[in-house]
Amino acid sequence: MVYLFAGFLWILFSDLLLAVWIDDADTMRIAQTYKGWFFILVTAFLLFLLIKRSFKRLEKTRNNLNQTLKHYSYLFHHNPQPMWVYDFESLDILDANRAAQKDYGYHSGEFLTMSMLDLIPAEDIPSFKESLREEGLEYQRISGIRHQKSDGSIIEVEMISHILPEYQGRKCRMVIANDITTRKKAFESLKKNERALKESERQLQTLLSNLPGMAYRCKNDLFWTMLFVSKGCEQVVGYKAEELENSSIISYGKIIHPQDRKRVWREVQNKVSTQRKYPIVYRIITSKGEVRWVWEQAQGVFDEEGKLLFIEGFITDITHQRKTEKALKHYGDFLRTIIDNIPFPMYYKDIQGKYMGCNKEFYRYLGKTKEEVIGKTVDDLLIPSQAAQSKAKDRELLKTKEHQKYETRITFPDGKSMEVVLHKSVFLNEEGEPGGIIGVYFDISDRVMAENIIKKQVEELERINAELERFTYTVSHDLRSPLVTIKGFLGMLREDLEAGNFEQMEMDMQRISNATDKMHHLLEDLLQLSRIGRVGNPFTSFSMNGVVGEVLEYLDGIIRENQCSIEVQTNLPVVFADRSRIMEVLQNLIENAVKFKADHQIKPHITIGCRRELDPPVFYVQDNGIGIAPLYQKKIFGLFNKLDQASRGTGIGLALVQRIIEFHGGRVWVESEGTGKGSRFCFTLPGSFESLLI
Amino acid sequence: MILLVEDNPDHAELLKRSFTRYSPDTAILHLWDGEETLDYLFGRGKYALSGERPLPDLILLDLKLPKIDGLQVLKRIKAVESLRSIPVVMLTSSDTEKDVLKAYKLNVNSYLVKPVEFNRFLDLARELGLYWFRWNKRPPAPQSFIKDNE
Repeated sequence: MVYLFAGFLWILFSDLLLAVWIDDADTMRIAQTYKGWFFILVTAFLLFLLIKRSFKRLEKTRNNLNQTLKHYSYLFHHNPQPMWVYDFESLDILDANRAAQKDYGYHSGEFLTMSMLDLIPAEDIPSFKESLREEGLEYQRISGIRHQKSDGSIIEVEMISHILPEYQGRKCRMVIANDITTRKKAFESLKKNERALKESERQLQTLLSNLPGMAYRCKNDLFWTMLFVSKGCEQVVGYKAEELENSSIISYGKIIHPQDRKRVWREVQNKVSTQRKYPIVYRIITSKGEVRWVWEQAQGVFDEEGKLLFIEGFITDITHQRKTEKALKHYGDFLRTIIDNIPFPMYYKDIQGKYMGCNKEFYRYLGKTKEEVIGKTVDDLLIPSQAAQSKAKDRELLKTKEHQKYETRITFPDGKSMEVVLHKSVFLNEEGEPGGIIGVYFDISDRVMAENIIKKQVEELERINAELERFTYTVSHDLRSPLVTIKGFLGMLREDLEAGNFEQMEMDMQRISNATDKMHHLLEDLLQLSRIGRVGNPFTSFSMNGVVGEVLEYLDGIIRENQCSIEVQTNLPVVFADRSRIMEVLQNLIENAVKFKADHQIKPHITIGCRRELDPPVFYVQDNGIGIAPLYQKKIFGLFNKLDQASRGTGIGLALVQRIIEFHGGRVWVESEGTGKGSRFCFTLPGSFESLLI
Repeated sequence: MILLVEDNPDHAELLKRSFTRYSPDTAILHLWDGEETLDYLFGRGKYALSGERPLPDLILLDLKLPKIDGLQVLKRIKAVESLRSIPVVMLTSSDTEKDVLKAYKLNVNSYLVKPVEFNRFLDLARELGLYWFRWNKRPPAPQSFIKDNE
């Protein structure tokens, strides 16, 4: 416009100006020529400026365009949301951004060879194809679609898409996929939490209303003004929650038993300051005037500065438990009294064998204090061998669980010992499993002692009985026997007399005389035998040599008669015994040795001595007589037992010897290799010492 | 033949005299103790080599004998097949019930107690002879002696 205006003005005024200045035509023509060139130059210059400016602007615009293109490409490719473009008909993916590559795990090249169907799990493909029918919509937002990643995992996405009418010459859709898997999960868990919260609130409510007692919050004042009380309070105190709250009808302080109010106040003040839970037990009076025991557990609620705001707690009725407890305690005391008054030692111990308790009699019986028993084991009480036996029995009991009863001796380390019958049983714990062992002692020391005495007495009695039996037997046999002889031969004698057979008479009278002698001996011996143990002399110390000498002197007659040679060891030991009885022993033994000769040709040889090397020393009387077969070596000491009926003896001699030696606590026996081999009668005397003469 | 086992020489004499008075034909063999009796019956000991050993028709056995007593002898006799049929009569001065019972348990044929009165003693001897040798039917005598096979 400026140029047009200037041009117009130039054309209009330049000629006028020239006409003014120049008058000649030539000059005018030349001036016109120059004016024409000038106009062309100016115009050209202006045109040049104009074109140059246009070019510059064009360049700038192109730069701007490139910048925008790059910008939008960034927006697509670097968008944090996965995006891609796919062909509407072939479903080929034409482009995909980095987020898509990253989220789905494909690299860019791969994506461009894929189809939409590669992203859909096989089972979802039909429904996906179904949805394609609605592709006509320009803008779509579908939630809950499942996509498959390159590693096969499934994600749930919200797909937002928009039609791109013209993209690389194809009809396409651009897709933004939002992975909502985590969001959905978070949402679900939030919902769950919410439900749980509601549920726990509900439960708390149910719990509070169903609690066997009352939950409360109260002020720490003398009235215990209740700020909140759970429904259970009606059961405990008989008042409704609203009657108690804010002490509208009655304060809790008045419900507490008058005798307990001060104590409760003191205790609570003491304990609440510790900021810990505390229990307290006291009585209340219910709306019906009943006294009840309650148990309360409470804790103070404090602000940040440690100021007590209020007290929260729980109160429950324990009247019943308390009654049961009391009854139980009473029952326990009762049992304790019974057990302590049972005059048998009783104990109970745990599975490990530690004494847990016992009655008074147990301590008395063992002579132990509580400290010496409780917590200890049988190892601490008895000697090792018996402790081991006891433990073995315990193990067996715990295994079989069957009541045990056995007799045993218990011996304490100090040597004190008792005979007992032990009864043991397993007791069960709260779980019904073996909790330990209960044991009861029955002292049978007296019984065992009495039994032992009785046993000895019975044995003695049996021995005496047997002897008595043999005695009466003998009396009926051996005493009868001479009577038969006497009477018989008296009868014969009468016949001899009638027949005048004097020779026969002489012989028969001799038989009668012998029979009466025999009877006399028998009666004498029996009398002597009966005296042993009954009629005794005091024990004295004497030399055996002295006694042997006296006996030999007494038997001098038959020794000479039988032409016996007798050898006596010098320095026989000194003994402590009944001297006259020992004399009888030696007399019998030496007399036998003389009497039982092997043969009339052989003169009897008797040795009397003592084998000091033995302990105790053995005295002996040895002969070279008829000897005794091994079979009869015991029998000969039996009362009235004779090996040779024809011999003059009564069968009492050796029985007498045995009795005397046994009365002295010694032993007597015979050694002989058999008939004709001689015999050696041996005996011991416990009270024999080495001769003082040595 | 009667086998008399009696350790008391006076009693043996009395019995022998009384017996021969009423049964003069009866031979009496007197042995002194149980051991000797068994030796005789079984042909052992000092009888091992003797040829003629007739078996008795009756054994009169005293109860109380030295070494091996009467009951033991009885038991041994009754335990052997060939001797079992010989009548054994206990003749003793013991009238203890226990002895009587024991003897009968060991299958004794009779149990007699020696009477103290002389006349009764004679009666016993007479009636014993009458009973066992006149009235009593005895089993046939064993064929032969056994030897060492108790």
